[in-house]
Amino acid sequence: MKAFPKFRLTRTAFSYPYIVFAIIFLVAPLILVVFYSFTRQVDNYSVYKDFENSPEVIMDNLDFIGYEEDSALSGIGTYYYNGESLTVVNYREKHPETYEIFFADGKISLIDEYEGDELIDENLDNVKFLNRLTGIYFTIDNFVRFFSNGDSMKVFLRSLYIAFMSTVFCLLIGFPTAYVLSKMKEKTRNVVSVMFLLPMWINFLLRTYAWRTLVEKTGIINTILDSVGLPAQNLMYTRGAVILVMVYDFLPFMILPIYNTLIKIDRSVIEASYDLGANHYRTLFHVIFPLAIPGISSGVTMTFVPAITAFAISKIMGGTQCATIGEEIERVFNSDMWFGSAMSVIIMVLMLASMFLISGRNGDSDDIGGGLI
Amino acid sequence: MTDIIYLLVIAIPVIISMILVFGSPKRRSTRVSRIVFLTAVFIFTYLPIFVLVVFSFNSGRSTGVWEGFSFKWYEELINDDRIKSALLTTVIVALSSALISTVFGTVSAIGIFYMKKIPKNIVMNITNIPILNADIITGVSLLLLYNILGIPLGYASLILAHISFNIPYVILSVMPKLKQMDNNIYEAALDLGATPTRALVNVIVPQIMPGIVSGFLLSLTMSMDDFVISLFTSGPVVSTLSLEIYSMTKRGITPEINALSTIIFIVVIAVLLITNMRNSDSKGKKRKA
Repeated sequence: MKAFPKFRLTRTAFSYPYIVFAIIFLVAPLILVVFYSFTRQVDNYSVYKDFENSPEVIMDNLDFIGYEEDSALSGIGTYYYNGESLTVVNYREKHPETYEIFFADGKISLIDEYEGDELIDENLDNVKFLNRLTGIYFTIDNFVRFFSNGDSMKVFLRSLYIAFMSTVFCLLIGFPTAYVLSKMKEKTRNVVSVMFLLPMWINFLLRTYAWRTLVEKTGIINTILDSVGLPAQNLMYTRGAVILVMVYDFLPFMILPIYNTLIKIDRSVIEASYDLGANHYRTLFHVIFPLAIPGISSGVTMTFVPAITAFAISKIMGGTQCATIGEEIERVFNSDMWFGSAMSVIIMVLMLASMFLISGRNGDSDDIGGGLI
Repeated sequence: MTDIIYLLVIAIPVIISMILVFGSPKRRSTRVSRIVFLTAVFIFTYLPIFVLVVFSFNSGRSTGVWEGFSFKWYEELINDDRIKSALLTTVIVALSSALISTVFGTVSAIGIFYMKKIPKNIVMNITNIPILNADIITGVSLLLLYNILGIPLGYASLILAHISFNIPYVILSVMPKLKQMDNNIYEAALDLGATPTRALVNVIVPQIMPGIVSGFLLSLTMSMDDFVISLFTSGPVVSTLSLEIYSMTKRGITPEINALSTIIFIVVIAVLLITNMRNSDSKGKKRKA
């Protein structure tokens, strides 16, 4: 019997590569997001009057705020100096190594210390020399900025509202649908449930986009309204349009888990309820509803979590007035990944909180992903 | 006011039937309202798709005003190199990531299955992360990881990202099959002189095959359908179909998108019909045997 425990060890060893993989690709990225959210990178620039011999410092500790959009070159962006905001630009075509700093009352030109040597002969006006120091420091500035900024709070509350309304409507439509489906004969319900799930196989951007055709100002709904003699409605670029499409896109995620729990309810439990004298409604409220709660909670999680962060839907249907937090993260991330990470962390915390609130614990995940095929 | 009245005309019957649906099945009103309600949800589900398909045959540029029947946009789609290369990228990425994650995931699932309870719970909780997490956070966090590790964005980063969110689906579909598996058969194979490796390949793998297949199909669809994670991890050069559609919606829209989605929809229906027919065939055979 010696060979047996030895083999058990090797069988467990099958999972070792995955554990390494999971640590690198599943755990480390999240740790990185948290790390970034609590740090900022400082680009400390000092400005010198002269490059060679006794450099005279004109400005010290320019505090980096953020890169300009479209700029991969370091050093370009907005800075704070003595409470004043400065913009540094770079004329890449003319003098790639030259930066210009704009003040409220003028500008000075800078040359990067390391690359500027060749340009000294060119006799640029007001040329100063730049010394760059970079470092990372811990701070909660990113979070303070998020919660003290009216705009980002507005976007955050708006996303919560849209996600909440979408989930409520999904539940209102999804539960009766799942209930009716579960009451059908087995052969019929198998066919009908597949028909309800079919649209899920089409790319969700295409489904979202199809609604645009319907809802647009010159779209089909308005054409029909017009032909009946009713005034055209302005439906596009409203919160209503965003919620409508979110309900449409996430409805299968609500129907499916509820339907799966409803069809698994033991018939004998329902019969026992009737035998014990309960009428139809009593059975419905006291037996079927409580037994469907795991399905409802996983449906709510599967709708609410993606609805908070869905950003393509609001972009296509809502325009800029209806930007959600997901859109905000995507927009900010390229220019300021520290602030973007902080927003991601806020969403993660919110998601964890809602999952704990909804399902009590997050152990019901077996339902998720099951039954899709 | 008129629009409110108009909305109520549609909404009230639906809401009433929504409530009546829960009535006793013996009543006529319940049966009627169930049909009304399901039809309403059905129309809601298929209306946009119907519109999408109809306007793919529009001869004009508009996706909302009908100007006549033509196959113009299908021709244009066939000649569109961007779409063709995006389709190729999608297929390459989906197939390679699904294959790699199926093999890797199955092997890992077997390993995890034989782990002790506490480490097993930890590993399974980690495995759930990409499924429970919002796509955008997965995408953003992978982008940060690539930045730190210095992996350039392109095919490799895209496929790695897809593998990382596909593996959990494979593990979660294989795990239940491992639990259902009768361990006695494996021990019988060892008693009959099979080496552990042979018993693994010839006894365990065939028993968990349905889980492996559904894991593969699940990761294939997940990877084909993914948009947000690809957006962050693909870089500027590589573009999948979802990304291409997204940039099309930004650039201005022609019925070309409709033509593309019609084709995709027909392919999906065909695949589902074929697999369902096969399934019912095999069920019939089993019953006969």
